[in-house]
Amino acid sequence: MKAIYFPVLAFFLILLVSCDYGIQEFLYRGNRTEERASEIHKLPEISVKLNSRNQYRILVLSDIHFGKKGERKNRELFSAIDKMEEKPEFAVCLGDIADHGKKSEFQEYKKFAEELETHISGKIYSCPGNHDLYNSGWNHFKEFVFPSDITKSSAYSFRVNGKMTFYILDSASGSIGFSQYENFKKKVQSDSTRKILFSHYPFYVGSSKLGYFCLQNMNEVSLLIDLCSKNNFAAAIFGHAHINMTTDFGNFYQRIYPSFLESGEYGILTVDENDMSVKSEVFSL
Amino acid sequence: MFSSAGGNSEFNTAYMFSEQKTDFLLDFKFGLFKKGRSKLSAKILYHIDYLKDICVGNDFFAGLFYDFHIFPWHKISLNLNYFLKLQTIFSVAGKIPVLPINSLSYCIFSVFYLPKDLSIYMGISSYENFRYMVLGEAIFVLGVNISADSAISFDFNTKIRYIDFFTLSSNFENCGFEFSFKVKL
Repeated sequence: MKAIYFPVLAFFLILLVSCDYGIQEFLYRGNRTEERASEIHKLPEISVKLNSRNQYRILVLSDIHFGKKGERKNRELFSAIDKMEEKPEFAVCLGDIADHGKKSEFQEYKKFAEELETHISGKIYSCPGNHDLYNSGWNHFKEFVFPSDITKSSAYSFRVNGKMTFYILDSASGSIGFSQYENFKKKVQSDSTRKILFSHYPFYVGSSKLGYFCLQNMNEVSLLIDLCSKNNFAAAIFGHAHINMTTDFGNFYQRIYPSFLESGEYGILTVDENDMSVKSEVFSL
Repeated sequence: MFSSAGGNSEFNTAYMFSEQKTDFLLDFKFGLFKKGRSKLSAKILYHIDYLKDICVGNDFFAGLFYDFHIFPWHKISLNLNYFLKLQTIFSVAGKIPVLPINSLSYCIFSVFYLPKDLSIYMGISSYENFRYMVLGEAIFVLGVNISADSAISFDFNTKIRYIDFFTLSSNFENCGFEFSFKVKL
């Protein structure tokens, strides 16, 4: 008779072990996706310098997890950027900036981001990940990652050189949600430029991961893939799964970047303004 | 929804449609053994889900149910399934005809049998009829079942649905109430 209670006990044991991740919020969190991503906020257009081949580069970092134990290769990253012949024009951080969503972790990130910005040519754009929401982390995310003078929504877009539009969506809760999808759909259908999507949760992680490390609702995934395929997207770039994986969907591809903390790897996207193609690469430190 | 039960097996089929979405499901559950307070059954399920002009999803379940009567008035039911999802997205089908996902699904229920053919049930499940997501889904259910006589029974339940529950991201999706009645023919 006692054996029957083992799964229930195991479930509660997992919950207790998860205390550091804000167990008090596991049934309800005040800031739902609809509230965080209330609109697709349009940021001012930016201009970047092109190289002699009409290209520019973007640094991509994923799953930095400040607050988690591990070998952090920040210095090695700055040194690698300094040695680059063509420096990234700006950077995108794909979420899970903090491991437990604590203020000290976001403060640590802010120091890192300020230093990183002195090594690249432009700003760092970020989307929230699931770890950033723990312990009411969204409040700290707004303070240290998205100061309110930049954007009031966790979903936003900006155009580069009038030719490529970058869309950043909030999938930190494992779903884009109906209202964010509808807002995104309206924006991309009225935007004829070439586009790139950035978000935390991937569309698809292959057949062997129990389907767990991607967006959970396959109908939502299908709607998003359909939208990207029909609206001139070059690529969709994600983190979360801590793997290095590319999936070619025909009109666009999905790239999942590995965790910077776990693997010491970072990504470089090269945008070619001749044919508006986007090349995606991963480098080890 | 149409159900047929006889001996130690049960067959269900259900259909749901709207302008944008069509669902159809079939499932078959059969007893493997029953000894004392324990009962083990196997279940297979097929579900097809068509979203107009977007995609078609095929879901296949194969799993085991274990029912254990702790007391005559209290039963615990555990279910674990292998779950294969095959998703075809029409706009990218030329490049990738099917996106396969190998996953698991589960449900854990506790049922209390009260006098006068009344039962109260509560549990957590990763799936429900017409809704088969990958592993992180959690649906909390609390319901009551009343048998008016041997031919008619009424069921009322409330469900709270979460997406990606086990990352503790707590994406509360929605909650709802369901009322149904079953008539034995």
